[in-house]
Amino acid sequence: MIDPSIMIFLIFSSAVFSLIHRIPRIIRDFIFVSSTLLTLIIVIINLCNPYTGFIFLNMFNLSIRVNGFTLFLSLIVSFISFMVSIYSIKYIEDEDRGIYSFLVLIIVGCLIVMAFSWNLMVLFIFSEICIFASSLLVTHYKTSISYEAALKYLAVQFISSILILSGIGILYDEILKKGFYGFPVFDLDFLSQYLEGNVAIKIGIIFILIGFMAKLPLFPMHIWLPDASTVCPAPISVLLHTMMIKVAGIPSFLTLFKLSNIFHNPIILWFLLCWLGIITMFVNTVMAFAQDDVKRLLAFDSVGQMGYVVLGLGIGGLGFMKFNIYGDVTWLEVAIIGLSSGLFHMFNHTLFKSVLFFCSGNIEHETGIRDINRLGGLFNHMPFTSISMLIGSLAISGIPFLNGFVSKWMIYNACIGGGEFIMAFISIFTCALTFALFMKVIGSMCLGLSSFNKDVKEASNIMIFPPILLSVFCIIFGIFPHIVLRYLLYPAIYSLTSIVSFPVIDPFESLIKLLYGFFDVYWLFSLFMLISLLIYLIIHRFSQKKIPMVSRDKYLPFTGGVFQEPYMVINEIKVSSTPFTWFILRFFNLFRMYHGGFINWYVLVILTFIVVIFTLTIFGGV
Amino acid sequence: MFWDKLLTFFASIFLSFIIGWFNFWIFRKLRAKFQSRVGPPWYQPFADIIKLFGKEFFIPSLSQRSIYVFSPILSLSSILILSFLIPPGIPHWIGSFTGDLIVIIYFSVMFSLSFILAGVSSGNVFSFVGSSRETIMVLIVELPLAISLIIPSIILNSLYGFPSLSLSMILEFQFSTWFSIFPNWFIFHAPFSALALFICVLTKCSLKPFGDIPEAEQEIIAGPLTEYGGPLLGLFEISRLLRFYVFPALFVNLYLGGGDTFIYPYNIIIFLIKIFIVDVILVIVDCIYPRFRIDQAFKWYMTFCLVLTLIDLFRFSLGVLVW
Repeated sequence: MIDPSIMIFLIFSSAVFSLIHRIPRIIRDFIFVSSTLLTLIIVIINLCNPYTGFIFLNMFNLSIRVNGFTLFLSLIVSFISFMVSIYSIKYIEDEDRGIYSFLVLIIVGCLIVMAFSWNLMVLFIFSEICIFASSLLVTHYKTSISYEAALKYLAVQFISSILILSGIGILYDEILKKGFYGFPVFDLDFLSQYLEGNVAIKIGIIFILIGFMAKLPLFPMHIWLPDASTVCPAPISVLLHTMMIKVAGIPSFLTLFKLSNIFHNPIILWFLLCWLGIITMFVNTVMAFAQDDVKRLLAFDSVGQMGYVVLGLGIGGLGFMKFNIYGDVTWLEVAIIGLSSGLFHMFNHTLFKSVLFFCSGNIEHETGIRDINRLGGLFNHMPFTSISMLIGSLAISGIPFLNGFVSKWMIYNACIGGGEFIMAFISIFTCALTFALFMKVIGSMCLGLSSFNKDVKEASNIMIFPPILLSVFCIIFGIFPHIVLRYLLYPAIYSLTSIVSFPVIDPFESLIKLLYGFFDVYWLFSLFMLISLLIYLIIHRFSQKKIPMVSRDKYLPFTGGVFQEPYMVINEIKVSSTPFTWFILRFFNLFRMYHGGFINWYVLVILTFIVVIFTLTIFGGV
Repeated sequence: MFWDKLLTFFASIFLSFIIGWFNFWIFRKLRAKFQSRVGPPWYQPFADIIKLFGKEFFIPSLSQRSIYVFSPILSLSSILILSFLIPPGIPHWIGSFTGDLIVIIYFSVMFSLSFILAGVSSGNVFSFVGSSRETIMVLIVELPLAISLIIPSIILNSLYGFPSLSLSMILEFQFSTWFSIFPNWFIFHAPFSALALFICVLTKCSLKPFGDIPEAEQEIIAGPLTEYGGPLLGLFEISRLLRFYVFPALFVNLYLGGGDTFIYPYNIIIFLIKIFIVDVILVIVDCIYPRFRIDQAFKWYMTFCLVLTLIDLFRFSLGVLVW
């Protein structure tokens, strides 16, 4: 029962405070961490008992509302920003810390406002502030590559901002004719009540959609993200990948979901959204294969995972539209499973992708290397980082008993239940691609042949705390997914669909039916652990007490009899990561041609994409 | 309920171990006959395992120890879970639930993951290359495997209007007869995807044309298992036995009608005979063919198998040429 405007004030005031020159470093860190921690606490209190009174910031017509969906988004933002603030204590050790924490807190504050507001104008303004702040953070190291990446970032973001602004202008023009004016008319609920379908409004909404899709980012507009997140510090990559693209991109889904009734035939739009998600996931997962820089690889894969999110949400929206048209209950079930799977995957992606980025940041901090092929066998030197990286990688590739599996399984179920078999198969194949991709990462970085890095040490305790905590959450939500379903997703879907009581079925019951009754995760997992324990005990019975690690020939790697000096020096053997990838890339050269790195070409493709989508939707009878 | 499940679980472990043992022995014996050898006696697989468990517990010096020890355990436990999830030809199986087909796909990925982790963590060049090959094999098998596993549920949807992703339900619908004469096995409805699943089962059982690629003896000593020995290799050997039951059983349940009757002792016997026949065909294919290169395997799966599955997929989802 705490007003959410308190935490917005808290964040912004501590941002301003951290700008003050010459305060001791420890106080600055304390304020940085404590403000995000307080934000997290306020969000959790609100989740337990949502605030219902008058919200102070609504005096300025910010249309802030507290419901399941906004609290879900703000939980993501506050939790990850807390982790980022802890992590940056050790990671960022240069002189610009004041500016750094100022910019991070500004971004966090803006994202919280965006998470809580359903007002298009507020979303637009605060996303602009976010873009300026984050482009300054992208150029944190002040190298020429980072300036180029920031330029690319700003170029794409300006296209999207212009589209959003012009769409908002068109909508405002229409709403002025009805006699309404001012800031609050951009509230999505208000718009869905008072707008009527004519061509100008449809054009405006499609502009807004494409604009927010570039921030999500969907297929042709995704090129800013890998560049921007490679050159910046690791906590900023986490910030970009787990908070910004979600909170700034989800309005494209919200707008379409709320304003679907304006369109004549919204099913086409949802269908298009699903296919855009599929193209995004496939292209980017294949593109991630081509990368040797670990952060760039993770960035491409992150865009691919957002494709999964869009697919789940799109199937949910499709089911909801079909339920509105045909009134069939099975479509409502498909809608609920789809929406919850999309949101669940978004939540899971937040967890495991931040684990992976934190771990890659640790490795870069300790070794100074980001190239996968030059690393190897870090498990013996950095055990905690490697184990959490292993868990994150297995979670993202959908291995059972980890959280990524549950959400992906729900997405496939939604696809097959909705009759979209091709979509299900492509996403299963993309999941296999992700698996192979992360086997490459693990095999050549954490495990594999330890050729060098002899004197590498584990990162400091502050830097290994966030990835370990997040990977523990990955395991917990993989075994007990109903925690998220009950306390986060069910209120979110409930507030999103804005049906006071569901007419025919209880959505939570149907989810439970899907998850508990049949996929009884507890006992399957307990069985799994039981067997593993039994096998381990049997094995342990046979093991010797202590195995001396003497360098006898017996314990050296087997090389087929060749271990003399002139042939093969065992300790220096290193196979690069190419055997994992050479062969896939041969078949997908087309995708690599698109990512040529020229900004003019990207802008041309994006404009073509906008025209194509525009023509398809307007002349396609939407 | 829990004790029922636990009891069924141990019963299914026992069954799958016995059948896997028998089929593995048949595999070795038949291969010996094809190569004009005598072949091992019937207790040979068990004797091998006993011998391995008597050997030294062995960890190479350059390995990542905990993952090296963990991966055989992962292998055995994932294949045991699979052997429980797949019903022995009986509908209303206690381990079956809606959506278990997708769960089966992912447990088979988990099974391959154990081999990949084993190879990658042992600190050997040959095992590293073997793991990369195993990864690529997972990748290229996944799409035809997924489509051919889900096509029975599409058949249910288009013929009976009853979509279900449950293996047990798919089994039950095959127990009727077709024109009162033929059994209603889904191999007659969708022969192409059955063939594709058969080729995928070949690979999953690590048999010759494609499945042998990750552990090609002439190129990379034993693939991911090069460094393993003693009890840890024994665990991998047990899981190798079990997959001669698990993957053929999946094929029999999906396309060959499982136990074919509701009468209790007979259905399991019929089911076991079918598994035996499938295994014999697998061995014959294994003996006839040489080992292909990995890019040839990719071409086979992505052209031949995928086209086979897509034919059936479009036939049933568009509702043309459906019989």
